[in-house]
Amino acid sequence: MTHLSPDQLVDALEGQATLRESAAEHLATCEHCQAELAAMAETLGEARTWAMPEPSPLFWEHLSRRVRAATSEEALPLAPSWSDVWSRTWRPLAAVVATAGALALMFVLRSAHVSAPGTSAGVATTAAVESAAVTTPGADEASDEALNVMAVLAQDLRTEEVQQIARPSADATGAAIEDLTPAQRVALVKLIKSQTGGAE
Amino acid sequence: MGANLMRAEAGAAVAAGWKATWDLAMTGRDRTGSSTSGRTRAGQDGLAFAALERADDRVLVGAFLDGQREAFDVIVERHRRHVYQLCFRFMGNHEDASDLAQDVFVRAFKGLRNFKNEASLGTWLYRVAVNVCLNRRALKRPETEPLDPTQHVDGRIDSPLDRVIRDEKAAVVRRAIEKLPPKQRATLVLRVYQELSHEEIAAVLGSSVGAVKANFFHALGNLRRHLHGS
Repeated sequence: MTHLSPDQLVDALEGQATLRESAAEHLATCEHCQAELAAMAETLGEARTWAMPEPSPLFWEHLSRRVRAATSEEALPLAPSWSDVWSRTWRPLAAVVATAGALALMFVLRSAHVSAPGTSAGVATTAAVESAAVTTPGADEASDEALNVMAVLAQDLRTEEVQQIARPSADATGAAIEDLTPAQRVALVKLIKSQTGGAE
Repeated sequence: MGANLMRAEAGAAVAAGWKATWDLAMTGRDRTGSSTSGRTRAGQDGLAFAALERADDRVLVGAFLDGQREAFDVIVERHRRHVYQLCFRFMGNHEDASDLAQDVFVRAFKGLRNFKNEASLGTWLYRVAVNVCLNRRALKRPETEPLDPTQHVDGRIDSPLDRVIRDEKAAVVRRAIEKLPPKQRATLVLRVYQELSHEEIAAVLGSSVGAVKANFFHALGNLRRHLHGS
């Protein structure tokens, strides 16, 4: 049999019952492993001579006071609140949904113009955006630019990709909702309504 | 499940404190029936604090995260000795150890929100302490000896000669341990001085039990070489 492994030597050093019978039998007859184990035990004994000096009895309360003083100006790290849940989960989700909605709108406009013969997709999309901007009362230059950017981005996207981006994880959403109390859910509904202009 | 239980227990502890305060406010009497007229607010808070002192660590964490700052005082009181001792084993002197122990608890105060109940609070605090100590040791080069290693140490038991001999031996062992690679040093300190099991050390260091045993084996071998040059 080969000599004991480090694991087995540590187990033997600490008198672990997990040391296998075959390993114990080897140890009983192998001078090399016995010497190794004796050296480990001697070193462990030397390490234990480094005694822990006991601080003054007054030290412990002094340490507590120092910690209290150092944390007195710190804000309490409160457990996640419903507004945190909103910030972490719903706000990004709402942003993704809003973006996906805008992309979907671009697709509708693009599809309508791609179907017209003799026009390329890019030209059709741009024309559609321009058309939408012209026919939409109150549309300004800023929204035109934003729509143009969206139109360019949307050109190379497929419907499946948009669906993938826009689809929230059912598990994550469900878990987040389950974490809310009834009062938090009511507050969240109000917040979503206020963010979406009161739409149901 | 565990988190819900912790919240429920924390809620119960906080509710107990509120109930006591409510009783005092409405009746002017505490649960023992003694009059509290003229009693200060600190007296009222003391009842809640007493309830916290009896609570287990999970309840304390929950109460703290629910806004009860006093719960953290109890956590400090309960774990300060072990944290300080670990810091002392890494730093080798009282001044650095007390500074680091304070640092550990300040970090714990800020980071307790991230504490998961996968491990005990003690294990989590050890993890914070090991990281703080290893980072400090990495920054603190070259090694400096404390001006007075016995300052703030209770020396009423030892004679002066005993103390000198003890300090000499301790300094030799301490310097040998300081030369160990960080993981080996951490494993040795946690096993020999803090008397954690291999499983607990694995949880603190984020490694396997097999790796802990291997580190312990190599730590003893290297320590022997540093002590005896062989």
